[in-house]
Amino acid sequence: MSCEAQIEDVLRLHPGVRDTAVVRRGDAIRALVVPNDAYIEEVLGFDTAASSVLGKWRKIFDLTQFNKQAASSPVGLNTLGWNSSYTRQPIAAEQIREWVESTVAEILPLAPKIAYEVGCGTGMLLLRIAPHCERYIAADFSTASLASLRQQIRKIPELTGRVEIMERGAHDFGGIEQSSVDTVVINSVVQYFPSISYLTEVLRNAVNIVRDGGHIFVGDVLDLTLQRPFAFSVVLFQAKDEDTVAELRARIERRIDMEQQMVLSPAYFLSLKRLFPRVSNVEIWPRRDRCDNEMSRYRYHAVLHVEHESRCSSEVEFVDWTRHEFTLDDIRTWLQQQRGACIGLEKIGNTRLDEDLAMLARLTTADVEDTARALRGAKAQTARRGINPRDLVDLGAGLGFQVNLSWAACRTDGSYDAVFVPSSSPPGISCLPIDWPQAEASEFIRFANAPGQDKFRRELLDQLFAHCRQNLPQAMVPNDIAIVDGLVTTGDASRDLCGAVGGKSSALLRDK
Amino acid sequence: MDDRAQIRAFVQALLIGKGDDQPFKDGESLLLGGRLQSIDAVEIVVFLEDKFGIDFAEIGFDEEQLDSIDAICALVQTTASCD
Repeated sequence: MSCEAQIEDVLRLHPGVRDTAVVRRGDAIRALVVPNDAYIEEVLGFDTAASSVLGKWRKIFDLTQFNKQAASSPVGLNTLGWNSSYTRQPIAAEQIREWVESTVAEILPLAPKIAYEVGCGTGMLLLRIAPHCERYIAADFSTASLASLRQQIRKIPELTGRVEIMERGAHDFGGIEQSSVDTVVINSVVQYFPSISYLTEVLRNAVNIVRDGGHIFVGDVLDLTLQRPFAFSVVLFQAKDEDTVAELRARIERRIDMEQQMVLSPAYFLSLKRLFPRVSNVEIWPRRDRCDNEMSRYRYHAVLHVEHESRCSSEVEFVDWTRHEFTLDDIRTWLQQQRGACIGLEKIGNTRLDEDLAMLARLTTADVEDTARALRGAKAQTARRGINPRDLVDLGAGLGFQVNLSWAACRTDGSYDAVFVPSSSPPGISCLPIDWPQAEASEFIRFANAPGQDKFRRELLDQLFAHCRQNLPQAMVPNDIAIVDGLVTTGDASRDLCGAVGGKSSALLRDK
Repeated sequence: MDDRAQIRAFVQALLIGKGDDQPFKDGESLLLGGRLQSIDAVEIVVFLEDKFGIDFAEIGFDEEQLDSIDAICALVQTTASCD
């Protein structure tokens, strides 16, 4: 038995370990550990902390509605609590309106007739979608938000008898029968969940209540693959001119470490096809908002298709955008030359992120004594390479194409893929699932940050090191142990997983 | 310990719990200034509810009321004394 296999066997004996992989690089031994969530929750005590976290978010939402402006909010547009990460001031109501309407525009084509919404809040989506439904069940844990929602519904007679409101936590699906709804909506909610295991339980329940051919729309998810550029953009915005690169770097790490909301990689949702057999397809949609803000840049929607009949996927040939860096005019000419076939473009640069990514690259190589002023000075010289997703959608629509977008490839530069389906295509073609470019295997190692779990995961690491010292010769005790969400299974005993983890914030690391 | 000192001690403990041991003045913006986040504001709310009997459902809530030691004391003064 190899040294790595022996170490893995020892680690698997610890109740806090669900799976592990050990790799050797020269003399260094690194262990990647997928934790047993139940151990962290029940033995180390995170479940108590998790309940506390949910309680705190509930209180925040209640408190927000105690604001004196709540009563005077327009029907369907209660923007209280929507503050910019950059300025910490309220986001302009018009941007929130666009955020709502672009989200609704993504949901309505799913044709919801009997819908269940988790975390309906004050009803910004409900009030726009329910009129299209026969029945709309709306659940939320905030008493004050639901009180506000009930007041609004009373002003809309057409919703009477059609909308049912339930005060409950996200995990509570009691009373909703199996396969009884066609659409579950969970929009801008999952970031408040305490853990991946909680989210998975919510989605397990959601899959259970959705009938064949239905959908689960998990909207407005904070993207883990873009967490660093987002953190950097906020830190740079708030920095004084004289703040140094060293200070900026430290603030970025601190911001990421102290993040209290759950930030998820699209890879998590894509993995649900394996976990839930009824999920026949998963799509990852970058936002299509016209506004360029933190929501349109750094969030996405995940759509789970439940038991959809799909004997085959749409065969699409993808052209690599990076080879030519096509402009919109180039794409216009290209589309005009197509003759009714579905065509794809992959790795399209995302112009919304050009500046942030370029500045982050400069920060990485800058001298520690350089200043925010110097970085900002370089900003103006950043070339815009990419294409705004919204511009691409509008271009395609104008030329008679339905434009589908995807972030399933989980690229850290935020580039996306597009498929252009001629609007004249029969529904049997236009509705086929698309074989989107997928992430490289290493991206599946980390699904989410673990807000509030730092203390518990460090405790687990301490236990694992002690366990290894007790059960292994000193020379075989790993040099470092990283907690990850999933392992790459290449079947290669000498697989090098270290590159997949890379960097302090990609997983919780501890050196012996 | 007078009310202002208690409030300051509570907020200081909150900051230290987040790994922030930098000093702060009574007038410094903590929430809008970014040193504390919304979820931290809940801790302050619970503290004020328990310690001073403040009912935010009754008086209304605005994060600016909790943004600094001075603001919190001013809030408490509407329902209790604050030195």
